[in-house]
Amino acid sequence: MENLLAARLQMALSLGFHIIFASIGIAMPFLMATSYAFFLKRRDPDYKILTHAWSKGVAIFFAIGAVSGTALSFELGLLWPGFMKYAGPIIGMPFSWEGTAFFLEAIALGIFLYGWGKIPERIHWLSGLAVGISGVASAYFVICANAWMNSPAGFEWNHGQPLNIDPWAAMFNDASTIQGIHMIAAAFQAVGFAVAGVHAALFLRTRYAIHFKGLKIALFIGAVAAIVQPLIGHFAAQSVAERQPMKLAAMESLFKTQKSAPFVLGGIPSKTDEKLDFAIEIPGLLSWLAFGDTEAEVKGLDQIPRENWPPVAVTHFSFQIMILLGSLLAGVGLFAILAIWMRMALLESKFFLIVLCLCIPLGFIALEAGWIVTETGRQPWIIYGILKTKDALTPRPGIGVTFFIYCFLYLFLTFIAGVLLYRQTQLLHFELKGKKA
Amino acid sequence: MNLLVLSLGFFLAVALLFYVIFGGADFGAGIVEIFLPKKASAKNIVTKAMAPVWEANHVWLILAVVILFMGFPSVYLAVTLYLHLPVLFVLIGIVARGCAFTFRYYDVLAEHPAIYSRLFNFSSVWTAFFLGTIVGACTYGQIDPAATGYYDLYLRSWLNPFCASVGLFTICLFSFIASVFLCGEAKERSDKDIFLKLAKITNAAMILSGSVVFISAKVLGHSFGKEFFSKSLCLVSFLAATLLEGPFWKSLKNEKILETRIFGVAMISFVLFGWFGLQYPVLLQYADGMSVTFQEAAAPESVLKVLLGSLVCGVAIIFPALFYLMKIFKAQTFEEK
Repeated sequence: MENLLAARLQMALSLGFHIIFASIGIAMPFLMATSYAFFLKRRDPDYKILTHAWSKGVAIFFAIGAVSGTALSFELGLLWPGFMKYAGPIIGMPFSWEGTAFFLEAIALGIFLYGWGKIPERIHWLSGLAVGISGVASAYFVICANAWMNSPAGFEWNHGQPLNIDPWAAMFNDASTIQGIHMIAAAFQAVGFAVAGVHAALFLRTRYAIHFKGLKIALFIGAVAAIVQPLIGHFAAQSVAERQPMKLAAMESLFKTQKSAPFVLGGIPSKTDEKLDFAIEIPGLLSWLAFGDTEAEVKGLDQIPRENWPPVAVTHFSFQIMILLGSLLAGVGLFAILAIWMRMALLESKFFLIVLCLCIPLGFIALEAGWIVTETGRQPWIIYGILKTKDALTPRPGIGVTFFIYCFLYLFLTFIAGVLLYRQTQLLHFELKGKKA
Repeated sequence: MNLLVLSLGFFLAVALLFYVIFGGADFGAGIVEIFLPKKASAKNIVTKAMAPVWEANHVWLILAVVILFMGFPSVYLAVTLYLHLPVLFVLIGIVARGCAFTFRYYDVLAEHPAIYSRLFNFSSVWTAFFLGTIVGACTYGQIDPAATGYYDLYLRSWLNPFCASVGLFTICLFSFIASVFLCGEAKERSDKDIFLKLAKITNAAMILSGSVVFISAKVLGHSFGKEFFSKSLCLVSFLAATLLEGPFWKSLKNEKILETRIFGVAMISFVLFGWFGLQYPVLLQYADGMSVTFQEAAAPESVLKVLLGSLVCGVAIIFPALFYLMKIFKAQTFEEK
């Protein structure tokens, strides 16, 4: 396999894998803290069992997330030394803050997982919350680094040399906050629906009350995130329209610059013919969403030479998948909040529970699709407008080999983690059955 | 070397030191587990000791990596390019190890739990070995950016008896610090005896494998030994580590847990100081006598200032939290029988 392709795929695989486990580390602690708080207040033993069960899942996924994150810190240099040469000094600060936040998270997790009965209940609960807060902070910091790649700041580029480096301006660039919020919401959305769906499936099978209690917590959190996410996404897209117009053009398959640009749903782009077929087009909507004026001009791919076009089909399809699934989850979420608030019996119905089961992977698929949008949409740049991805590649040979090693390793780990979770669930049911008898 | 660069060099040294002490203890626990009797209680002590702290213990490595790629980027780039193979091996080892340990703990209905143990033990040895290899390569001075051909560029600098001996020494070093810590974790008499014996054996192994490092350098015609004993910091560290052997063995005999830990940590700290003293002011030794110093590899001042500030704040936040973690789970350190 050609080196550049292998490096791209390896990075995509490593990041795509890591982010699933990192998202769980971001959102699950808040689910656990909620369940634990319910136990502390209501003294319903089901919530204690639920907290224990969830913390085992967290421990398993956190470990995989931590080691895959360690690998990433090296892979940045192993694959893209041309990038790290500049990025290391300029955008290293958020990485160091992320390291600190992760350190706190690991400490808090150790206290939470193994401190049962060793420290006062309230402190123990606080440690669980601390895991979540450091997780969110950690996520924000590392997203600042990615935001910098999309919106470079904090240096003057002088013939291939960065001058007057200002790490603060680099970290808090124009894309940091909106990307950070968008990702954090995505983590809660993906994890909330996945956990709710798993408990829905288990509730359908066993009808243990504990699963319904867990379902409600996860669903509520996931639903809130899913409902606000389209609005956050809108602001993110406006930011992209402003700073990375070619990314937006690829997302929308907008080949020609035009006023009153349409917002498209679906469609198959043809790069050779420079058109989009089979799409539903809403005239003027893209102009209005991006710039607040249906007559506003939206830049198309014709603004730049073809060799600098990002991959149109991949970016377009990923974007369509993301907004489709995002809208779906927002809809389910809206209904769910209503149903929980009004204690509707429909919440317990087989129909709704099956809907939730079907939703299990959707949040994560949307999350990965969104990342594909932002990363492929930025191509051919690794630092937007400054450094091309192909110029950042390591000179050493044999990347195809390491790519396959990581592929195999990460697939294997995912499989084992799945088996472990299944066995933990079996054990839980075994214990619950024993209690019932 | 200006004060700013020196301060960052200090933090890098601290990160590496703490990684050796805490992360090393972790690796070592996975290594010494191989030599424990089949009795379940001894094996459980390792698991119980590691479980709450292993994730936190390994963050020191990430800290060291971040200090490198932000503060001394050319060294990070050199290591990830010319030493990419041992780095890859370390990464695979870290991933396999962390997962094997966690899976062993949480796979409640496993039919073959021994598989997890074997993977955990093997990857502990493997990772420790290649970490040592990387350190050896940075000191040995065979990294040659001007070379041509895969072997000369990417293999020769670390695939040699010297680096292998440093790898072996690292295995013994980590086993030693783990045994020292594990002494205090054992509750029953029989378990205590096992770990006390291990502490003595691994101490001897450390001294023996350390000698092999010097001998292999001599045999290969490298001036490692000569350089080492000509630098005052190295000499002092060597002497201090040697002199501490006496009090260490005495506290082992009297089973004074806190003292044993203090002496054990002090001894390996001096081993590390010896390495720091040998390297200073060089960060990376290249072939043909070329080298890059801290000062030469340093990023621009604006970057260093911010990095230093972040590290100081980070330490101020982390240390109390870390202390609290250790207080909850390692309080037996301070219980004297």
